[in-house]
Amino acid sequence: MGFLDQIAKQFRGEYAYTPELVLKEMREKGIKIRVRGLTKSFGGLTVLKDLDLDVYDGETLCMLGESASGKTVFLKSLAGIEHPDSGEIYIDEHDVMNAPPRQLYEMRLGLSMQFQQGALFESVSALENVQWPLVMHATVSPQEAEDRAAKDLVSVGLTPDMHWKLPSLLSGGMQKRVALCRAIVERKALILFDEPNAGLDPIKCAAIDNLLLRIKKQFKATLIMNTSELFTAYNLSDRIGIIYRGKIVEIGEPGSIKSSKHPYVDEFTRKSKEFLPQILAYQEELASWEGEKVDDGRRDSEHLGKTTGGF
Amino acid sequence: MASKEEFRKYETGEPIVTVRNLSKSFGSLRVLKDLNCDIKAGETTVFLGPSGTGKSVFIKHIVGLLKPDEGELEVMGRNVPTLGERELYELRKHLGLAFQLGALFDSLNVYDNVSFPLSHHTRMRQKEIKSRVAEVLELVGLPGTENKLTTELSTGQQKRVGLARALALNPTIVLFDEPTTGLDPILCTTIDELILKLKTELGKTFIVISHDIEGTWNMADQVGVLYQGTLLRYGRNADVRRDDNIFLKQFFGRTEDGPMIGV
Repeated sequence: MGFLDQIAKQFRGEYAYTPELVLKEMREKGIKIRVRGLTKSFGGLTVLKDLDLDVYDGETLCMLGESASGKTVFLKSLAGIEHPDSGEIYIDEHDVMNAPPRQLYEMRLGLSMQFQQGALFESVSALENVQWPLVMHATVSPQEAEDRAAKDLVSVGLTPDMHWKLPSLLSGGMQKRVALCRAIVERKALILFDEPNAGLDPIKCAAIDNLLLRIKKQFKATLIMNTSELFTAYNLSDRIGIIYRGKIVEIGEPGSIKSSKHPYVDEFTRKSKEFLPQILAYQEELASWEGEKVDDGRRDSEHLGKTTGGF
Repeated sequence: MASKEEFRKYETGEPIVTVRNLSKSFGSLRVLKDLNCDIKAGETTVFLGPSGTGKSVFIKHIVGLLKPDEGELEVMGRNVPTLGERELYELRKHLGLAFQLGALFDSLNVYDNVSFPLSHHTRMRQKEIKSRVAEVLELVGLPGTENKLTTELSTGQQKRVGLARALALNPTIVLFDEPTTGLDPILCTTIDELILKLKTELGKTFIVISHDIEGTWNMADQVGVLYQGTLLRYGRNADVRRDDNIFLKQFFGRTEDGPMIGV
């Protein structure tokens, strides 16, 4: 849209903001991301319908919603990978929808993303996958990149003997953690997570949740997370957004989502409500547990295939 | 010979699968250690447990895809490890297996996927196959989707097509590997209710592997918790749910605090 068009629209009262005004307001209110009227269809199927959202700087926002409700398309639109049909997306100083490639590239340097299926490079080792963004963006020396990647992998429980394995030789949970590491290794101010713990068993889920909590506390980054796991959302988020048929039908703090009267939100959370008291009671009881961990011997490297031996 | 006998009908509550001291190792890793349990006909038995504790390996023993190192395993009166290919083939006609990700042939449409076991295992005519496919698709709540490609379906629908294919031969036992993994809470409830409905209406025996604890409480009669290759607890739904074992509490409380290592 041309500048003059916008002025004309503003005069007619159809379009109250120019990008400059939007960005000014965002700065004043501490809004990191502003999305307005986001719409995207694939063929005849409208996935996102007029979606509005403000994300504040430093908050953790969990997006909940059923499969195929448009969560992933929304995240990809933020990262500038998916191109919405209409609407506005502002991230920091960038007008994502109208940004020229060069600006889009700069915008992307400010964020990182973890993809649902991991999107790991299958032909290089776990460690090389994690150090990839550091090497590509040449922000640090190669040695430093390797050190940082190794340190992050250890912090998620992947011992050095696993670092040089190809992703295909790691278990599903380990691959998730490698993907997670790659998303956090650059310590970006905005990190997008797409289903960080889908398909993992409850204890691995809890471990990933704790890891994300640590990231949240240490980095003070803005985190946006798609998930189908209610407990993850309750534990981690400052706000939860419920997305239904391409729109956000309810957004608020976890407490307000739990007690929401919205029929869809109620249906979504009903299943957990009955069992939540028992879960919380067990969590409280075990919080002070100080016994020894049982090593089940399945983390031995000999059970996980051979290493690649580096480049 | 035992295998020449007809497969008899099992009354609800009668043990249909008996497992005695089942052990299996892969290399130096002992995946199943001295497993003992009876699975009753007409009930839903759910096996829970962290990943890598041998749940899938156990199911593969039931259908005879893996042979145990030690122990006995009887399914519908047949001693599975001793069966030959031909006898296994006969037994498997009574077992329906629905895989974790559906394992559908994605180059085929829904009709071809669901009719696959019918055209390969029976001498049914095209017309009969057609009505049987329509029948099972109706059962799983997807009537009229015969001509859709599996890639056009959502994940929840794919799982249901997988279940329809498992039901096509009208098996006595349906084995379901992670029916709700990766699905949202609403779809999970739909699948749980579907399993409950099929159990009550058709009187089938369901053996389910799951990570979904709430779903288990909703649909299971019997619950087994596998950990490190052994059954930590095997009992009625309500008893297991209230059990005082610290491993179970950690698992049900989905927390990293406790004896089990998360990552």
